[in-house]
Amino acid sequence: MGRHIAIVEDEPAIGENYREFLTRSGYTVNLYSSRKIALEAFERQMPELAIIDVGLGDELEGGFDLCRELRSKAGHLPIIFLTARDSDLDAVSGFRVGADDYLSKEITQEHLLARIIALFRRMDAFREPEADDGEVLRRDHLALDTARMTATWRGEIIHLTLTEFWMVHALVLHPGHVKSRQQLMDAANAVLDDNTITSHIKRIRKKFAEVDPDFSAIETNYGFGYRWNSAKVGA
Amino acid sequence: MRLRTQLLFVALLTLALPWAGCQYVREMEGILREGQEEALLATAQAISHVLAKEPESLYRHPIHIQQMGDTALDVYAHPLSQDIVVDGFADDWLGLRHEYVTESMRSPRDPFPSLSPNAGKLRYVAGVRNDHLYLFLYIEDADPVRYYRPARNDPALGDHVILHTRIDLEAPARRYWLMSAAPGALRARVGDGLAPHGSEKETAIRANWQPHPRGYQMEVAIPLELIGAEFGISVMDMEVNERGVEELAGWSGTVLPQYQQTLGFLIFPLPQLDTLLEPYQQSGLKLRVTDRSGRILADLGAITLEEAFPDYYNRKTEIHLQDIYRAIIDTLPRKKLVYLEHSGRLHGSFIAAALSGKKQAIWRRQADASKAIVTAVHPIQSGNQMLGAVILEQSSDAVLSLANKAIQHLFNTTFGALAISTLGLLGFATMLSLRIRKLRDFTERSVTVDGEIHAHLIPTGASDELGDLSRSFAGLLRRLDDYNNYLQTLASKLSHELRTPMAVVSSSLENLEQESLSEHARTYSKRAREGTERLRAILTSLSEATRVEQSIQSADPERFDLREVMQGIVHGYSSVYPDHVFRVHTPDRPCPMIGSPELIAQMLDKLVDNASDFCPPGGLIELRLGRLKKEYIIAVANQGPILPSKMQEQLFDQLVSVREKRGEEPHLGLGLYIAKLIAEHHGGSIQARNLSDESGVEFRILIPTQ
Repeated sequence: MGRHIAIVEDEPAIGENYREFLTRSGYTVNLYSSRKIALEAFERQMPELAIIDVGLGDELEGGFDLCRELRSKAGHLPIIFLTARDSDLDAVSGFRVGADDYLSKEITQEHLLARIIALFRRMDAFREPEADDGEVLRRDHLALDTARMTATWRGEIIHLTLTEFWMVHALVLHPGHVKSRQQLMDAANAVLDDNTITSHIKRIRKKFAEVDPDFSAIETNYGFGYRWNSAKVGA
Repeated sequence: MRLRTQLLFVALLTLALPWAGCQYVREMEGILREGQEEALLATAQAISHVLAKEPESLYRHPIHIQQMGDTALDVYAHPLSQDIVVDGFADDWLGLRHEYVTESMRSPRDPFPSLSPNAGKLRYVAGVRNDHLYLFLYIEDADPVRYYRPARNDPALGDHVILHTRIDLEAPARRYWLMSAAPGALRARVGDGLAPHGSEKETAIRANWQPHPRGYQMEVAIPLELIGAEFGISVMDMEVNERGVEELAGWSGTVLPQYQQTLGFLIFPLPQLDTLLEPYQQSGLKLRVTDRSGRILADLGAITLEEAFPDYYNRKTEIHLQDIYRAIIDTLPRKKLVYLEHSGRLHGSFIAAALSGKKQAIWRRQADASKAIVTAVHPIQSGNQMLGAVILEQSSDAVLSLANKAIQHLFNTTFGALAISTLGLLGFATMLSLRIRKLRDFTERSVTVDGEIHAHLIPTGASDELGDLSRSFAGLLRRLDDYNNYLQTLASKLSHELRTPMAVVSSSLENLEQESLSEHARTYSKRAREGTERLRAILTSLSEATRVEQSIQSADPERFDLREVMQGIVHGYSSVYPDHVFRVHTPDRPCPMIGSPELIAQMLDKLVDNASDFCPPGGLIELRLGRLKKEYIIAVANQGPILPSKMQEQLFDQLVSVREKRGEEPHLGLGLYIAKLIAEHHGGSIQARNLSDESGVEFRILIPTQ
């Protein structure tokens, strides 16, 4: 019996397709066509991961509402938005209501699967904090736990989404090297356009800045990409 | 023609009103003048009737009434206004010195006037006062003055003057000889013969002889009782011939006694005529009576041209208006005279016509005065006999209507109303054209060169057609703007709507690939996958513009160095576009500005991407950053094919592509649109143009420094 994934999707064809694919990948999948039905089902049993569409039937932002409700019920439930609404604004809203990831429906099934696996891994890592920390990448004051998908800066946790985590990971892996937007996109297994990457980088900087106001290790190389500049990291 | 000019022309039509007014006033003017003419002519007629009944008031002697001789032989005596001292000098003749009658010296063998200027001449003037005839004779003599020598006892051997007269036409003429042995007072002699032999002294005649460098002059006073109806003057110039004998060398005057010539009449104004005319005198009226040859027999009254004491302060402004009216209405001919006056005689066709029996009146205007003068002439006829003419002259206002206060007020009011209505029309026209111009400017401003509507027309509240027009323009622009917005968002809406069915297709295909498929089926599914991939790319770029707009709106402005961004960016391009050569020109100094460096970089990316698409392999892509007074100029030039001229403005619109070849990547012409959005976000503008030598295309962005 695989892990329990709930898909809330008002378009039956898509929902069925994902269900079949995920079932094939070894997960137990429940498909709900509206926020109401999904909530009723979640009352009985919480899934281990939820994939939610933003627009649910007549409710244009039903997905956001559902996410908010789920977050209040289960704080650590991994939630992925899988939606046709790919604008920056929607993504920001998605993260604001507590989503762990925000994916466009254009993403391939393999990419989706990778995200799901990564989220489960992170969840597991939180549950078993004593697990080995051999997969921790340390650079300057940054520690990236690739097993748990967590990041700390000067010992303090930075709450990064998966996409952001992989971006930081790609930058840090080869400090000083400029990573183009395309490279960052590939690293994050995401289909994003240039602007989304720019706003992702901005958000990452903001998250670091919350912990360390002087943070400036992520450098923009105009027109080309970004790089991790160790020299800019203070003592 | 501008609307204002057109309306001005229409306003000019109102000038027809004062024109009509002028015509009316002119007509009235004509009637008024006619009235005055008739009144004057009636007076003239009345006078002439009176005079026709009493011809003896005109002519001194009944003979003169009956017959008329050669008027050239007549002697006219002016009425003298003061006493004359008979001293041989003309000082006391005053103005009459200008009334000289000039007679040339004639040879005794040739009765016709000699044309030789050296022959000498006689100038004389005659006057009457207190029953005396006064004569002043000025004789120019070519040879020295010969005085009468008493020893020879023949007065006729020296230069002398003879006065002829005839009281009774049947009787022979009586002659008075005036000669002198020396300058000074002289005695006259009287006799009936041709020569002074047997003449007697005439003590009633006083005379004085004075020589002057060119001859001599003489003043004579004769009691009128010694002179009859006929009168003549002869001046005899004596000379000594080669045989030593005195003989007549030349003569002048009105008569030559040797030839038995008929005498002319002595004519002078009679006092009883003045008495007769007295009742007709009135102020401002000049009354003249002439005899049948135009000699003035009476001259009473004077024309007053200006008021004696004009009310200066009152007239100052009024005169101006009146002058204008006069200039418009006055049609009188400007001339000084209608007839000439000389030696007490009136000349001219006007007088001649009257003396041939025609009465008439004529108007003239003094050139520099505001007064006009009407002259009326009327013949004096007794039966068929022409006795003379009455000439009346009267002054009046040049424009009679102006003398009438009511008409002048009408004029003032009309012109005032005209001025107000013309100004009003002009003002209204100006206001109208201003409103129309404002509407036009606003409409033009509302729509940018590339067809965007960026300002909303504020409809005016005016309830007229222009207000309607502005409201419908506003409505039109609003609807157009709505439609534009709809079109602009259409792409992103469409891509969004298509995304879901596409996800159905692509996820289905992915699932399908997991099934065991035949070789054929696998090929088809692969093709379907490729097709969806391309669809996806298209949909992504369709919504890209919207995403860029959103990210532009959320971009936080920061201060950065444009030069640094530019230099950094170009560094990377050579590796991204290995097929092209990059060259960058930047100023020596940093170029600080406020904005989003990421967006600027993105804009440059789009421009360079566009340039690389068109630039042939190995071609040069040139980037230039320059600093103008208030803006930065960023130019990206490539050596690609030049732009079609009609596309230059549309280039920056969404979904417009001027690419000739279709690449594998779907191209939706969004790059330049995004570049434009970013430039405009920074308050700048973008333009594309062909290089002046047509070697390529240049895109220029102007961004204000602040």
